[in-house]
Amino acid sequence: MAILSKVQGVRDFDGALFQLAKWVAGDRNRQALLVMLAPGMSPDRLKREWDSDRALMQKSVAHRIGLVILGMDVPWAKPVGGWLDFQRLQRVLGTTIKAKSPMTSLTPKFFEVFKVIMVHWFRKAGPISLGQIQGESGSSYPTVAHAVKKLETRRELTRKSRRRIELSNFPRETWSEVVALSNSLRKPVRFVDGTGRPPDVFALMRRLERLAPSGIAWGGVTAARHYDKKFNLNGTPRLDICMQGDMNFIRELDPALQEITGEGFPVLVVHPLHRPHPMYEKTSKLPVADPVETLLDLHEMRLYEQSDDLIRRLTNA
Amino acid sequence: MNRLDPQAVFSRLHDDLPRSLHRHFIVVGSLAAAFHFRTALEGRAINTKDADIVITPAGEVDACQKMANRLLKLGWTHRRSEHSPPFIRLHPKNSTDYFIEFLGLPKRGQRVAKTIIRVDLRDGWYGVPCFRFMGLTNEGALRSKEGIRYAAPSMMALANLLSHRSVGTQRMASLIEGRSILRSSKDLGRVLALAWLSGREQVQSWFDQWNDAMDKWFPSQRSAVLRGLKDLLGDPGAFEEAWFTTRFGLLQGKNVSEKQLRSVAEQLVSDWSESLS
Repeated sequence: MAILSKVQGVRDFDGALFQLAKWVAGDRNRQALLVMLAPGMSPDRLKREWDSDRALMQKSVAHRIGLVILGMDVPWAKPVGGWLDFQRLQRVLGTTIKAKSPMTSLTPKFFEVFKVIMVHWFRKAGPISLGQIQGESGSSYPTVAHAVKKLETRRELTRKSRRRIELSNFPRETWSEVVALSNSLRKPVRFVDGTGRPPDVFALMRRLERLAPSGIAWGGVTAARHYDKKFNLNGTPRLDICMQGDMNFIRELDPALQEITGEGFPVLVVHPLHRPHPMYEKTSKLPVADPVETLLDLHEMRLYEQSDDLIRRLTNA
Repeated sequence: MNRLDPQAVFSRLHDDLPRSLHRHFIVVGSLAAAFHFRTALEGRAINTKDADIVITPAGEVDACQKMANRLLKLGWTHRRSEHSPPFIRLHPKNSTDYFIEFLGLPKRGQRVAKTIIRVDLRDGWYGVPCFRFMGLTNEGALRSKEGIRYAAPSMMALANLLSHRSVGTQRMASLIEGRSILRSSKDLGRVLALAWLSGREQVQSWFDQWNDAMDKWFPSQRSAVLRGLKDLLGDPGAFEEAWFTTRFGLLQGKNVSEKQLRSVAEQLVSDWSESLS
């Protein structure tokens, strides 16, 4: 069962649902239930999204995933076979939430610590000290210690000598939670071309390289191609950049860029970085964001296959 | 108001006009723009009344006279003109599918916005308008595969920009889709339509051409290039009229909103300013 609370939009829902689908597809005996607590979207919107997402899945997977929406006037459920006792479910969830809900412990601070640890793992940096994680993530010692303990409990991390830690292997469970909530944790800022012309991503890219504002780095597909020369995608659907600092350069970059808050097809997405150390990789032109930010960008674009390929590439490098 | 297929008209011009005359004219105006962007416009016909052609060399009465008399001799016929003296507007022989209107290339140094040169044809006196900034259309003129020369979008844009240093009050003589429209709104709206169709990087490449043309024709007026457009941006009513004209002109069917067109204008102003700094 996966529990989602504080869902910001359709992307969080889609991400969680497809993660569950992947897990269910791994074993024909598995079933899953997605429980949403007081979502910010209307039930009708959720139901439409539910129906359209399931239509994309194999039938053998789709009918083994259920959905429950709680926290509205009338709870709604598409249970996995049979009848569902809402009151019993809510009692169970109430107990679960009070004790330890996996999603409610995924705080923004945990997120930053987790990403720093993952970057070091991808870069084959070896064991790192808690002090270094503190400095790079901008977190306090208790926050780092709590995050480390959580990962350790899941056997995703091991402690080494001299108060150093290292991921044991790719942290699949935590990664699944993180990507499901990535959009609400990262809070990307999306821009469309306000002229209504077909977006010219490459022209924007050239201009950004010319302006070279400080504090930014390529993310998304551009960064993925830096990490994997055989990155499997034709074209570049949009530009993703990581950014420390303010976004004053946007107007100079293109006065026609307009921020959108709902659904749409942005030409530029800015991912504000909330930690002191950006961990960018230097190149001859603009720097490139770290592999974890890059993977999260790919997930946000629903380039799941490409994201998995890149994880394999980075893991095996 | 006619609807003309730009490719078809260019082919007709090639066939209907004697080859020896081809080097003496340039197609300008909405037909030239529609031809240049025919792929982006997906071959749509455009609302235009005629094929405006500019006769070269500049201010040459003889050239206009010889060309018009030659065409009349070949069977081209006058189209009625309400002006006095009438303008030279000619239908091809045995057809009223389109007509050409003679415009004169101004002499360098012409200071008035518009002069009329009198041309004596075999059947009477006629007038050929010479607009002050029309000379720019001769700079960097493009050529269709049939060999017909036409004005580059960059130069048509520059000519329209320089023609209007402010929004002004002059209105079009005829209504556009039932509305009375400011002359400046129509012409500056055309600039924005050309910019929208061209794309930002292409528009940025216009600036070198503008600088070269300004050095040659109007060296002291570089700072005035976007004055009218800035004035238009500050006048919501005039801007709305500009947008309105594009909906029935070059951008018909493209569903470009007023807000989007405004973004194009802001982009153009910002990029031009940046190019000057």
